[in-house]
Amino acid sequence: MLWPFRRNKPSEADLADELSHDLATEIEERMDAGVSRAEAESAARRDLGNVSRIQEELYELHSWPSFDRLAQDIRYGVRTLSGNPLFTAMAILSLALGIGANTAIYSLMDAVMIRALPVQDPSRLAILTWRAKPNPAVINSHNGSAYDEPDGRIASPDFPWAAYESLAKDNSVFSTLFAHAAAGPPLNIVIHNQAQLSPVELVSANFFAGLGLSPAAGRLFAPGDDRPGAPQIAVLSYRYWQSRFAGDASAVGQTITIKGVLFEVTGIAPPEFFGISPGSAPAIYVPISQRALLVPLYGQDAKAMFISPHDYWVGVMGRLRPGVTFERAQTEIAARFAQFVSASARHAADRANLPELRVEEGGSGVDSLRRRYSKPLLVLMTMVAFILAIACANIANLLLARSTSRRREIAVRLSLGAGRLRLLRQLLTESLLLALPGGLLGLVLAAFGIRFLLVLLAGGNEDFVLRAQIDWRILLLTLSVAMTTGILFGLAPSLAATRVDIIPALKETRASSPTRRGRRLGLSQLLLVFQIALSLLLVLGAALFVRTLANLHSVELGFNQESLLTFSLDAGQAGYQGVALKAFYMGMVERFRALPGVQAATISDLPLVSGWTHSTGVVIPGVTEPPGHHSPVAYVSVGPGFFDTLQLPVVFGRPIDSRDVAGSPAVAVINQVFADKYLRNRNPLA
Amino acid sequence: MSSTRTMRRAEPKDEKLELLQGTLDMLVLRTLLWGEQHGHGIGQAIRQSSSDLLQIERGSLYPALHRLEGRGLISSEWKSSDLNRRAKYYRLTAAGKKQLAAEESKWKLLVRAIRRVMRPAPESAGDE
Repeated sequence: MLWPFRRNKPSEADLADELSHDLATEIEERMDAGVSRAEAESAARRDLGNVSRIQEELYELHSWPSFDRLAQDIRYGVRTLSGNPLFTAMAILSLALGIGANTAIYSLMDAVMIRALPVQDPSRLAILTWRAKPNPAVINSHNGSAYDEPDGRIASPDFPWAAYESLAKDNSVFSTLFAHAAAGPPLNIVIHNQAQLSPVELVSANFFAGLGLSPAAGRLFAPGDDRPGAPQIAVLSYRYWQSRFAGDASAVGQTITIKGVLFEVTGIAPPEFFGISPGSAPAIYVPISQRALLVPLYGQDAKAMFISPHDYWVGVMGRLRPGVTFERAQTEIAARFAQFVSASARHAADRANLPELRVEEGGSGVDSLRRRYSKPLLVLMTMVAFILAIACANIANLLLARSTSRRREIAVRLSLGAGRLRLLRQLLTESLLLALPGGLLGLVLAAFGIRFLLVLLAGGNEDFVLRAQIDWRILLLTLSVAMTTGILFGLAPSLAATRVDIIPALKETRASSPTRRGRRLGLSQLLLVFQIALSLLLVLGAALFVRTLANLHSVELGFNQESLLTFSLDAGQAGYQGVALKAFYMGMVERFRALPGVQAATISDLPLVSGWTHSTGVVIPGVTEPPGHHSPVAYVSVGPGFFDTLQLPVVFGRPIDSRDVAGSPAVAVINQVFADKYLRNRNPLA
Repeated sequence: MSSTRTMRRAEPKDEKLELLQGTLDMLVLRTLLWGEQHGHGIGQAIRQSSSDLLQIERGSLYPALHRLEGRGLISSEWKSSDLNRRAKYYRLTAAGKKQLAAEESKWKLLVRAIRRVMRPAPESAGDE
């Protein structure tokens, strides 16, 4: 027979039909008994009672709860949970940790590694890089970044301006090819008589057009703005405009001073555009032709930088023409660049190591940050994934343990006539009651976590700007993972509990409850083992991570960092020149030395451990290098007392001291590595 | 196991009895033993066979019917009634028959037990 299996719920119309049939029959019967129609009708209706009440009762028999049932569930749930504060706190805390940590990390990952630049059609953007063995002979100076490839070569996104110009001409694969270069360390910018150091980016005139950006105010750069001799104009980033001009539209047309040079503000970049490199946000964009006014030349000819094929300093990005693939762009552009570098080789031997161009997807921007942090972030990501797993296991175990102890309660409620569905609903409500505050707390943790991680990544760099916000999709995902666990492990044992034989369960006292039953024990033990294993892994990972972090903060730098204070300033940008500049610096050092509590003071032309170095070729009498091979040597110009102040030992000879002034014989101190490499066993002082 | 849903209290009219918990299901099943019947007919049948002592409220009857159907003890079908009106007819299933037998014997046992407890107390043992 089919009937016993039929459990479809009756529609409301079905019941209404049934009741109206009942009513009609009743009326007829009463009229048959000799009552008037009107009287029969009203009596029958009275008899039938409240129809909607009957419907409600039936509805509840078959379907989900109404809202006051839910409220009742919630009240009861809150009561049971607050009756067991330790369990509740543990559950909520582990949920919050899992959700918060994951959301923070994954949001950051997204900002660093995945998210596209906030520009038009970022997937069509390409970024040009080159690869070569270390120290290619065709490169005289390199101003920018380079990083090691796994195959021992180096890679860099910086090109000679001449190469950019030659590639941009008659280009069949890129609709626009645009160039950009940082103007070095932050520059002194005076607005309304207030000075502030901010990063400046040099860009080609088609930079904003190539990215497909439109101005928030004024105009962005147009063709011709980067011609030599073009007016000195600047575009402000939206954030900088907000902070220095309070978003005042009259900023456009005003004059600002960058490193003592006047520039007219022509426009404001759109608010979402923070620059093309995640982690750095230029405040001001200036046509690249103004480079000589802003970047120290270190003896190089200003014009030569735009002509020489040996000075690598501009980043190049392009927008692919419609229908052109990255592969095709790679083939064509790489061939043209190969021609260019080959022509720039001065000796046959130079050709042994020529930079090779590569076209990479540029949708996420220049990826120095990705390179630097992708590995630690991946490690961190794996770790927080473990945290989430542990949190889930934690919740599961807690709920499991609780459901065993609640068997008796469930049995009582069952015997009092509670429906199984009703009980499940109750348990579900409790799971959700745990998940909600857990999720909220997780949100708070995520917000703080992101801020903490940003500080960690920035490593004291003030200009570090990474737009990382809580990613709601990720929050939702982690929340639902945690909740699913809660529901699964909250319900599964409870479901089993609702199937218990009521009588023995009722009889069992708290002491005699069968917590040692085979299957359930197996599950909770499994969870326990899983948890311990994960925790062990995590503790090890965390220890390693903390160690790495600690190492980073206490790297052996070769000099005594104890009680050492460093700062940098640029009086040249404020207008000091020549003799006055030298007098200013020397006077400053003298005044510092005079301060009580200062043991020693000195100056150098580059801040220590800043990541910046000068390098130059060195010619050593008696040491001949093969032609086409020259090794750049990093150097820093220092004032007297440098070695004393840093407590750097000078193993041989004398340090630079007050004898070394202008006009005295030029002297230098070399390090051990230099001596070993170039002088072999000869006396360096000779 | 019989349902433990409480019956709604009837208006305290004269001579009307309140049903004992769980007995409505048994009465419905019993009524359907005579053949298929619609909701109204079931109510009337119980009233008549109890000489108007038991009057089942619709608010109890229809939920009981749907519950019994849900448990597979009765089945239903829409049909034309004698007056050519569409009505939902309920019919006892095999499981329902079995259930009825079980409840009946339990009921008899209960009645016997209650009667024993309630028999008139012996005169001699009575204190004031």
